[in-house]
Amino acid sequence: MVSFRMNGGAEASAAFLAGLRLTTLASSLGGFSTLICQPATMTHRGMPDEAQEKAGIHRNLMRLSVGLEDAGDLIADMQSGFDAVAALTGDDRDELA
Amino acid sequence: MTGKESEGVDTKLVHGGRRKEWTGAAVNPPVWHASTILFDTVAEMQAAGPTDGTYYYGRHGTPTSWALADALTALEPGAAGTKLFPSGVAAVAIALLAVLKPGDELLMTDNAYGPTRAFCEKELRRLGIRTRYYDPLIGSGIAALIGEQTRAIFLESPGSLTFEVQDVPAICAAAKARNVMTLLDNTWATPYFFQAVANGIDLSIVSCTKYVGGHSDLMLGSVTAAEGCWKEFERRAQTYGQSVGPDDAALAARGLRTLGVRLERHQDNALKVARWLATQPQVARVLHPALPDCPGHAHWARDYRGSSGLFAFIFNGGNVQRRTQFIEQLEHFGLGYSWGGFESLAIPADPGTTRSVTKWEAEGPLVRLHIGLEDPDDLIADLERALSDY
Repeated sequence: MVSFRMNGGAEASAAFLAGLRLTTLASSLGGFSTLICQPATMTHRGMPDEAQEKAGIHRNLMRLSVGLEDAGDLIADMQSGFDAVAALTGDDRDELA
Repeated sequence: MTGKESEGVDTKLVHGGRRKEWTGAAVNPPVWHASTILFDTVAEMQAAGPTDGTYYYGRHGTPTSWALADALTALEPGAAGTKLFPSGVAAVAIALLAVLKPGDELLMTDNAYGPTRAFCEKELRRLGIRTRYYDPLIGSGIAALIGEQTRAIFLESPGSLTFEVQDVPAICAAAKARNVMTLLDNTWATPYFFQAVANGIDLSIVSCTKYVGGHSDLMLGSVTAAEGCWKEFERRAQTYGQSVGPDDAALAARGLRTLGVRLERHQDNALKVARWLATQPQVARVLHPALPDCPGHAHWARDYRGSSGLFAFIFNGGNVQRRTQFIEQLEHFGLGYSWGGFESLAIPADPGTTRSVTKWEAEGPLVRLHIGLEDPDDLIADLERALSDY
């Protein structure tokens, strides 16, 4: 299990998640396949924004449950997610800043 | 999710067969029980056909078995499809029947699994198909045995009792030159450690009862066919009416997801035990493909990506009575047929009685071990206790 915070705003997070091919967007963890979760909008969406913020469940926090795939394939998948963020138009990037 | 040829084998194990239309929203394909498949219109019914992977009739499978077959195909680069069978022996038998016809000759490795040999001696002989046995280490020398009637060569590498590793690419090259089919029992390595089709094999046979299932609780076999012979094999195999229930297919698909991590541990544990056994004075030889003493070790080192948990050792002298005492003294090793489960097994075997063209010579009786996922030090301590009385 590993969590990380994305640079950029909601559009960057959405583009990253949409750019993944091997990694599945789902709430669970501990299975054989790699899952990614955006806790603020999924597992912890019932918490008020203020409580989320206090608990460190930021909008750009991603939680990864790494499975049994080839690690190189998973890193390549993360890279394609980041490439999708980089492909956002210049205007979008301004909004991210 | 469909896999890419370039993906690592561990990624293929995780993603194989998990097409959205088969899994629905679940991670693994659910258990689909069905005999009758209903059609909305006569036109739809008449348009459907008995092709694996499409709804037609339960004998041709449901998404549960299609997903398993698809995942097994993905593990063999160059393969076009996989048929499932209710046991490994059924897979061997139907693969042979699908290839051979009366008057044909089959070249069979002399170290073959007992039931494979029995099928040749009893059924193929009755059908007018001649079996000629060859030395498992014959390599490219197989060319001299290929005659006008030779239709197929069956390989088992390594042999499941005596562990000779065959020169698969050389035998396949000789077969291709004469338009002869090749079939390999790939149960020991599985496609995880040996990609049979990429090495030239036409039909790669796996007893999924062993490592694919991995938990000693199901019977299942598979035949994965190379691109050039899949369509004909599928058509012929279908006529035998072999069908696998969805519960067993789901268990096998579940086992397949962890095949890589289990095999890596079986490999480490077995090597530790094998290397320890090789240093014991009561042991004359250890037959493990990854150890230099094993016949065909150089082929293993060249062609295989790893080794599994099954190997044998030969006692330095002694007799079968003392071997029986040894086996019955073991506490961590079960006494039973098959292998590939999470647990260790030990069985007595006498290869000399099931050979015809190669002579079995050994310093003493043989024990075959399957090394499971236990702590290998516990297994070694157990073997040490039993060996001290041998």
